[in-house]
Amino acid sequence: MLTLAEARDRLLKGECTAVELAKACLKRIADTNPAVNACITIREADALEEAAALDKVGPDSAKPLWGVPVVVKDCITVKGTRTTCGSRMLENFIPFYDAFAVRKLKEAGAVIIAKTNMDEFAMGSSSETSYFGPVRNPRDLSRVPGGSSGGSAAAVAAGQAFAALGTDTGGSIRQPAAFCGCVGIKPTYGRVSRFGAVAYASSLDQIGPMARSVEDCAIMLSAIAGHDPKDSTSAPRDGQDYTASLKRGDLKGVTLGVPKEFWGEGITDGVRKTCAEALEKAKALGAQIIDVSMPHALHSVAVFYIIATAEASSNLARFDGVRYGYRVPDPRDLADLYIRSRTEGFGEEVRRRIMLGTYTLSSGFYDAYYKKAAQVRRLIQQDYHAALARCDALIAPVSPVSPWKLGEISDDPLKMYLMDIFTLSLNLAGLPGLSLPAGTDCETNMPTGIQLMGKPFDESALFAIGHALEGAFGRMSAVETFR
Amino acid sequence: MPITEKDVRHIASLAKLAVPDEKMNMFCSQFQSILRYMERLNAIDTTNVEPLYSPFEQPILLREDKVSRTAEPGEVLANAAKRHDQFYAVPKIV
Repeated sequence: MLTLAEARDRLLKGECTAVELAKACLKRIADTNPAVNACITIREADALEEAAALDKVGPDSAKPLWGVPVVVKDCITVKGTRTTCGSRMLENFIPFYDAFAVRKLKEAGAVIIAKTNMDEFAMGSSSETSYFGPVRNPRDLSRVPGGSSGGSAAAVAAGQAFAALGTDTGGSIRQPAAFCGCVGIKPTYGRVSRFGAVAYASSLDQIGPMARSVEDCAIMLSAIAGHDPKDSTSAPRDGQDYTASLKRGDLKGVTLGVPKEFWGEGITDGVRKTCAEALEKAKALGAQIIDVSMPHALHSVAVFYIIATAEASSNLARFDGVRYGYRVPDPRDLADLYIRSRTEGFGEEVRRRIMLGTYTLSSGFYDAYYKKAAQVRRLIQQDYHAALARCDALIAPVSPVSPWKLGEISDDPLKMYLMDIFTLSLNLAGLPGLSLPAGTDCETNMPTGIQLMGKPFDESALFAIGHALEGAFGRMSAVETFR
Repeated sequence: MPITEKDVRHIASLAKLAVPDEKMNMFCSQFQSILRYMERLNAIDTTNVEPLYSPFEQPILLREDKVSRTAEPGEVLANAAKRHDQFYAVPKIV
């Protein structure tokens, strides 16, 4: 199956039309979505109309995504198409504006063919908490695709689209990319505008691309990065062409830091073996490998779940049944309207996180939990800065385990939270991270992802290193037939 | 500190949520174990450490406070389950 870059080249040469490519992807969705449940809303008529409009004008090489079918996670608004966040609360919500990143995709010529399934309000690590049913991993339908951008990862891995937008609050791009054998990048906080992304934890959320190659992610990020006055935390710097950093095939002169805390206990033998081999391949490409220590990194689970739930409890207060979202049909009074609309509209994990956040922010507990967590967050960020001062990027497993079976740990929230141990700290520090397939776990026969973590706004370095590593690891193509 | 049914009811009422009776024990024990896990942060010395509330530590960038028409009232109201003319409708308050 073609990569995004290959598909775009064919489109520009006139070897296929935008409508033909959109139809092929829509056919693939029709054939595979009943099994993987990656897409919630399929924009068939709109997508074909938009593709036909592109064909009418003809290929435009100034538009880097001209005619390319992509999918967008369902917590990012696309004007006129319902945006559910995987929740009953927003089952019928139709936004009247495009997210900044979506507008940029459209300006670059992309055709959005579907909105993808996800953990409800992006709260999960397995894409099992969606009101619209769980997503399944295209590489093994009995296993989870990771989360929360599991629908985006599954759609890309199943060949439903050439790339996807996801969001990453604590690993929600990198971990599903790893679980499904895709590439995904969480940009630096502020690199991509959050305007139009439904907020979960505003100091952690970041939109980013997922695709089947490092180059494809670079093309996508080049299209969506840039300053947006509508997001007060959007970095005041222009976008850039990240594909310019993909020239080199080796890692001579590159230093990679191995944080020992990310390579310790709790990693399965299969994941450890693949990741250790990945390090050897990096060395063979000429990289210098050094040991670094980040003593506070493993506290990130406690810090993250205090800060993220606190921000969520505040952000999700907007869902009151009045202005948008689910509303009970027969409220007795205003309080009853709020309470029952929220209780019936939100799923259990969302209610759990709202309540946890409400608790840690409540009178008498704020300093002990929220402020304390924010202080340890500072220490985590300082660890990153100290480690990154000694190297070009850090390298570590994305997840301590391979994708688990559906339902295997969904009854134990703390166990699920601990699965995020290698991805959370990067969001707390606000730094960029690229996840790419390092190989296959010999125990589970599932993809294993490795992540590169970099300096603020140095996504170029991650793409350059990731591109060279991809050459050594090999790309994982889309799944043709499910097992 | 043990999390009691009373605590969970209090949190739920602050969050404008209801906890069904049959879920009460589950939430109590889950909150208990999650909060106990979080309390491990107490072992870290954070004396004189400035809290980090956002990685974006520059002053918030403000736009000029200028009125512009970004959407039509009808578009905004279209997502409300209940409305009355140009207003959101809620149950009688006073």
